[in-house]
Amino acid sequence: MTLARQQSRFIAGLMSDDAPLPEDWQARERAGYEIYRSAYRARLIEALRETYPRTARLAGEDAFHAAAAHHLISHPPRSWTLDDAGQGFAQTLEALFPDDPDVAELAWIEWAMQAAFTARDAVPFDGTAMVAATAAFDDRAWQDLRLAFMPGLAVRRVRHNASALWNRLGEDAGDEDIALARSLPALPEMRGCVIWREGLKATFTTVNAAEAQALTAMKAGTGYGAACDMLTDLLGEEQALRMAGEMLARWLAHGWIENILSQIPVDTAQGTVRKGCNLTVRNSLPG
Amino acid sequence: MTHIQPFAGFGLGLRRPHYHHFLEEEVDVDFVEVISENFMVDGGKPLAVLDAVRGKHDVMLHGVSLSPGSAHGVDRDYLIRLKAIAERIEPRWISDHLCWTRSSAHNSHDLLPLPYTTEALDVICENVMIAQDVLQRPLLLENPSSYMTFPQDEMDEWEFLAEVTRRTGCYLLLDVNNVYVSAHNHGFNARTYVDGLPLDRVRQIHLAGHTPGEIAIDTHDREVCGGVWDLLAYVLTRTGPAAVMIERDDAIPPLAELLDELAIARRIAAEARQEAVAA
Repeated sequence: MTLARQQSRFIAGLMSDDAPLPEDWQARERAGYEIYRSAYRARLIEALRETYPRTARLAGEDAFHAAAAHHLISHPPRSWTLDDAGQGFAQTLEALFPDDPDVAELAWIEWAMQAAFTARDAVPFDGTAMVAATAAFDDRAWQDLRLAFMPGLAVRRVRHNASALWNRLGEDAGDEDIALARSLPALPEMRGCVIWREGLKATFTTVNAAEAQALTAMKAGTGYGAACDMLTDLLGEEQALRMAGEMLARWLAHGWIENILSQIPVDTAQGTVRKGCNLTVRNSLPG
Repeated sequence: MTHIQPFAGFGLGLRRPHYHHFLEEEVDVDFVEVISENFMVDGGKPLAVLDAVRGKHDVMLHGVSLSPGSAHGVDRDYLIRLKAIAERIEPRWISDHLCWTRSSAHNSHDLLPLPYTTEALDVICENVMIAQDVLQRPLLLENPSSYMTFPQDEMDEWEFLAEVTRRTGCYLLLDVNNVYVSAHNHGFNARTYVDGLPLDRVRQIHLAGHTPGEIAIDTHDREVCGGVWDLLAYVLTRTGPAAVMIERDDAIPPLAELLDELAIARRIAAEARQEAVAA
């Protein structure tokens, strides 16, 4: 048997008790191999516990252990870094705990916090720079404005109070805290949870669902005009106009924007220009 | 490939509970060793900490994911990231293990044992040469602790490691605890192992604690045992100058306790030097 085949079988055996071991292995080899097998599982489950400590407290130790073992079977690690072993765990939990969506939501937050913690270093675009960069913008330029967001910034909609879950389930959480976290009711309406890094510290905040949707779209490359259209569809024109400027100002104040990606040359001969967004933005920008 | 000058210093592995000591105080060590993969990230606090520590201390990069014994080859993306961190902090050297960690599809995140065969020898030598070529420097390879051997072994571990060193020009990180653990587990004489190595290639020495038992486990969760200190004394009278350090990865005690342990290593090294001079 080639070394390549031998190594593939060795790893397959670590991942499954059912994988056959070489017939020429005697008791001594099998006893030694069992040490590698248990170490593999223990190490990876511990890695997930380190990445998802609050999720473990919310789900309960036994349920978390079972979910982690399930995840490692369905998503065996491929990356050179142990940090990646928890990739996709929130989706695994979504499937395993369909009646407790707070578990998967919290796992998503912990995963995104880890990603933000080691994301590429960058300097956020501040309000003054934004004002200067957009000073000559006309309506069309605002419509076409696209943004590059800070590395590690992540956003998703959540049904539960992320701050309350996070604070209740910290390192010092006692039984009462955990019980309170588990009994938190779902929010009356969806919110957005945004994760980013402030200096060297990963952090998060919540925004309303419409802003989360606009942020998600702009993060994916949608222009500011289309994001404003989205807000109008969700909130109506009056509220959308007010929010469009406020939200951009908030993104700048939080340091979520790294740069303006594109400033398409103004060509007023093309297309219809939506009114309103530009003035609202100018009035709301800091600095 | 560049020659690696010997460096006779005493150091510790940099671990998170001790970051504040290394950042805010003057810790009496000649170098720190960091786990390369913990700092092969895009940015943020890990790199800020490493940069600050590098500003005060010599740093060695010690990896666990090179997988030089992998029949499926080395991961070039991994090597490029490793090279980037090396260019950033300019370590005194880079080390990894005589082992494999992954197949073509999956990563075990463990230091798995190699069969000591001519095929495995060819594989690891080719991978080490590729790694050294990408990194533009010779590597240090560490002898692993292991819990099993293979029926098809054609040579002893020390013969295998000596041949890798000869063929690739790499250097050795001699883990004295690993020799002790593997000698216990596989029934060979630890001193025979040491004597079988090209000791002039040893640039660094690891010391750690292990969990004794029918099969001893390399747990790095307790103090170095007497047998390992004795073996260190034996090693140091035979090697040239080397960088000696304590590895602790679990049940990490206050820094002062590790520095006390390091003082024992300093004393043994001083005695070994005197013995060498007298001889």
